[in-house]
Amino acid sequence: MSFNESHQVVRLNKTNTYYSTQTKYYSILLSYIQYIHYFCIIKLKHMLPANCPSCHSTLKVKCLKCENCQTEVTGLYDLPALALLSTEDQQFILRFVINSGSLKEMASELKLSYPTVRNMLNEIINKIKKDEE
Amino acid sequence: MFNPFTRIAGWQAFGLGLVFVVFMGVIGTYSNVSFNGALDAHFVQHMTFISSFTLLTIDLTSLILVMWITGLIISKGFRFIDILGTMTLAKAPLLIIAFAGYFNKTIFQNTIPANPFEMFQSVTFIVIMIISLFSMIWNITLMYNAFKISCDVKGSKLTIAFIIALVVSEAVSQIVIYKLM
Repeated sequence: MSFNESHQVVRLNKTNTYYSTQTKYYSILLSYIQYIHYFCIIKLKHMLPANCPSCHSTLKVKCLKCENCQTEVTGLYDLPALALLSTEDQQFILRFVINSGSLKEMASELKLSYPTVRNMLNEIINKIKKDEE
Repeated sequence: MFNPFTRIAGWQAFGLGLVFVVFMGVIGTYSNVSFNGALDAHFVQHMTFISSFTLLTIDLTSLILVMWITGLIISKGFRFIDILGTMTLAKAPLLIIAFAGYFNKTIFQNTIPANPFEMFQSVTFIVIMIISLFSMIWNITLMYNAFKISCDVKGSKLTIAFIIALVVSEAVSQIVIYKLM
């Protein structure tokens, strides 16, 4: 069901006073989906894109702006190495730093085994090395 | 079921694996199942506690040592305890074969060569064979995943190294059993 369709169903439920329990649960579920959908859009809006949506090449930074005095700096800058990683990898690095670089603590936090967490870190290291090359 | 090592490894896996191995030794003694090789399980006419646990120790030691040496050759930065723990826990499915030995009362290994078709007349034996085959496949899959996660190797390198290590560990365990027992 599309986003618009789900809106229509909710509106219909609001106008009808008597609706079945099944419809009630259905509307709750739809509201939940809309809530998730809303936050997904916000998250995507604020995420720094690293790859071109058309050809998937690595993007470069063209313009930087000061919010205070509106000064704009234009050029062609490389994205930082961490920005090139996926959101999951960035989150992993963030958790790794917060846990003082302890893989054991990371493993207990993520409820994964020590070698699994170490392998995840190895994968990120390999990605960064590949990007550096 | 086939890859618990993403959640459990190291000492935890070793402790849990040891519980399974001890049960295998005890049940195998009473059900007359001999684990005489890193990949072997046979129904025999008589088993003792000493021989059952000696065989299990040889199997496990040869498997862990060979896998560890293979890991050292193809990988770096892994812990011995992960190989020890995950490989010990990977033996758990063989407990099913130890249980299956209880139901195998009619046909023993010694009688099969004299009359090879006799075993296909017993439905129990065929069921036991299927269950044993499933347990062995499960055991090998677990060992493969244990090696993959512990040593962090992938692709054809992983597959080739694992097959070689498995064959070598089987050969080593057979030689040690032959020399010691």
